[in-house]
Amino acid sequence: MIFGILFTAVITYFYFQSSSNLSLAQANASANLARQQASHENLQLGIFNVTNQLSPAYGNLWLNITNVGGSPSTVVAVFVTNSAGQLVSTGPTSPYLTGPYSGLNYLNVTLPLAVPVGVSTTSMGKDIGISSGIKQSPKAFDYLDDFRHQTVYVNVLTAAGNTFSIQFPHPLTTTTTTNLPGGTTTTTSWSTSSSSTSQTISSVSTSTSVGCNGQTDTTCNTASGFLVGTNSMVVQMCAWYSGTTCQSSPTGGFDGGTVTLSVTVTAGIAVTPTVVIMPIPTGTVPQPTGSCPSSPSSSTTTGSTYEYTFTCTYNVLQGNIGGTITFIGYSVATVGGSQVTSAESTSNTITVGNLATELTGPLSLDYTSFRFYSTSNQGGNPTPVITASQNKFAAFSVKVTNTGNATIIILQYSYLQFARVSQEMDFYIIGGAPSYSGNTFPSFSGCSGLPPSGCGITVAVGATVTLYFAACQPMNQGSSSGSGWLWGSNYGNSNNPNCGTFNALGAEGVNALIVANFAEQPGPTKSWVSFSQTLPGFGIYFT
Amino acid sequence: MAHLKRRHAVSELMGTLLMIGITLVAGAAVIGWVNGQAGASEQAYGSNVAANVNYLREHFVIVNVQFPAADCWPTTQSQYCSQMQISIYNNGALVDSISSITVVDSGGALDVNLTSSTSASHPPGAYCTSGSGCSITPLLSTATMTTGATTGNSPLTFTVNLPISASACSTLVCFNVGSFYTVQVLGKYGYLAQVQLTASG
Repeated sequence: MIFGILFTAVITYFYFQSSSNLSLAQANASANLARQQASHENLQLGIFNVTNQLSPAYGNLWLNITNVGGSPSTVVAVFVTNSAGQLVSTGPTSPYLTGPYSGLNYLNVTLPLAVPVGVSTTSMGKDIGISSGIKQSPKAFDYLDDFRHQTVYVNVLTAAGNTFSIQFPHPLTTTTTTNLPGGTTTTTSWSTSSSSTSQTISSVSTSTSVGCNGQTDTTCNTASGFLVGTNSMVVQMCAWYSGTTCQSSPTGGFDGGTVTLSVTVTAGIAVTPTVVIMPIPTGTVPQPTGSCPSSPSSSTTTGSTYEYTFTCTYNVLQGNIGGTITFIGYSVATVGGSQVTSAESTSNTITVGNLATELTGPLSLDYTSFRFYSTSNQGGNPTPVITASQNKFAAFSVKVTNTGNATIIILQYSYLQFARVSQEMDFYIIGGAPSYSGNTFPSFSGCSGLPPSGCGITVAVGATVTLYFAACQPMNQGSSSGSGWLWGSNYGNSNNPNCGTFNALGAEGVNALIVANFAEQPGPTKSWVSFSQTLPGFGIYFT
Repeated sequence: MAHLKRRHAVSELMGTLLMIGITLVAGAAVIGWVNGQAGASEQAYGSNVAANVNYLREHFVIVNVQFPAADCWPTTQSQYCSQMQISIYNNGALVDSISSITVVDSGGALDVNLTSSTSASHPPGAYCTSGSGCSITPLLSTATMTTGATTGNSPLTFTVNLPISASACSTLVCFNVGSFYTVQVLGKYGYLAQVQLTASG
């Protein structure tokens, strides 16, 4: 019996050891298999179009994936970065996009997506549409984060942990010149790329040389030629108004009216280009209205240089004080079935009104930090999120820096103003950085007077703070559902509805400016004094 | 006739019982010892195997490291950033968490060392040299990463915040744009992922 018990104990021990060894071996084998499959994984990516098929209609990318590796692949997330490695894709909860969300097409397919060996998403009918995250609302900031206005990298993350990426617009990867009987042939190739491979998908041959009217100087970038070795198309723009010319670079005396913008697209091959133009007003100049035609008004061919001219017109209304207008834009064409986009170009600057009358003060505005928040973003994600059409924006934020030589305190009388032609709209400041937790939204409620008895947002010398302005129309106001944010009122209080109604905005361009009211102490023993500063405005276009 | 001297002895029955008793006691002692030794050995071996299995099953990748432009100053030369965002995707075979994140600069200096015992705001130390120290969100002690290619499973992004702002960072650790950094992420079971990058704001 004792022997039996001992035998059982020993057998149990060895069985346990054997089981442990088995699980260890299995884990080892699984790990090796996973590493092996990861090393065999290879995806070829292609961006083949920027279309209006998705909603929103602008700034979307279409991505196809072909599994050219030796193991099946599963795509788990797609994300977009800029050339600095910063994430520019905008999802509901994360920049890593995994599918549609609440009916919005952040992606048009739901991930994960398995791609068998040798199969492409095109053949599966599963090409991936990536929304830039803009224009998903009828009232959306129109410019920032648009994929079209910068070089971006679309990245695909697989379940094996590999990341494959492709640049958009497609880079011009090779330009080779070959001497052939009867002339010189230049072959220009665009390519698709993945993390490990590069494959030429189109090849376009043109005769004679490429350059600025035959010049070989790579710095040539005139309206009659194009820059060799960079993008295949080059855009030049020139703006003027009545009584001036493009070449004179008009800098004064313009108080509003029609601005003509000439856009010249130059290419080394015959293409059918379209142009995308965005006016950028500064100061208190409202966003101009107008557009470019869908097709060029004229075209010329000089040797192998093809030139297309678009004549665009914009109407500029003078703002409260003055500022400038600059146009930026680019051209898009299809070459060999692949989308080719020019580098972004900037026009000359036109002065509107009188710049000298702009108020100066210690605060400096970073208009690129302008953001908005809505109910779908109530959880506190500070990323600008565009919401569905039924949501209204609840708050705006923007960063300002104290460039003066004394600490200031921003008071509750500060506000964000949309300077519209028909009606001004004011959105009043709320407290410091909101906690976004529960309903404990910050407020200046209870503040009165100047420091030290009053309250406000203290900004040290050189410090940058984020100011939050409430959109007065709360979420789902008048509806029985929704969270009903009650931000926004006069002087940071939460009871006075006397502020702009966001709903009143139509599809239009407006100029946004900040009127900052702040207090400053002239000396250690002096009383605080109140000042106001109108920060230079910036254009916003709502659709 | 010689008087037969009688000797006292246990009976055969008693002897047998005694032998059985002694055997049982000794056997029980041996069994106890063997079981104890086997149990201790199994426990040690099992722990070792479990650690190895977990280590083999643990795997994650650093998908992206970015320095958000909104937290970089100034916008001209000598740009530096206060925030680093590290996105990690768990492609291992178990639900995982991160044990520590360290950032080492090109000179080999330890700029940031955040562990699962780090509270919301790390106390000043060799890293984050002064002020209130650096912080990380979400906390490593609470953040878990699900695994596998399941719907909606995307990388988890950790944000490392340095206690600097628009003021100069001459006396503080800061992420200098253009400088070279090594980011090391240590998993709960010992897996180490590392990425080297040049900061760009």
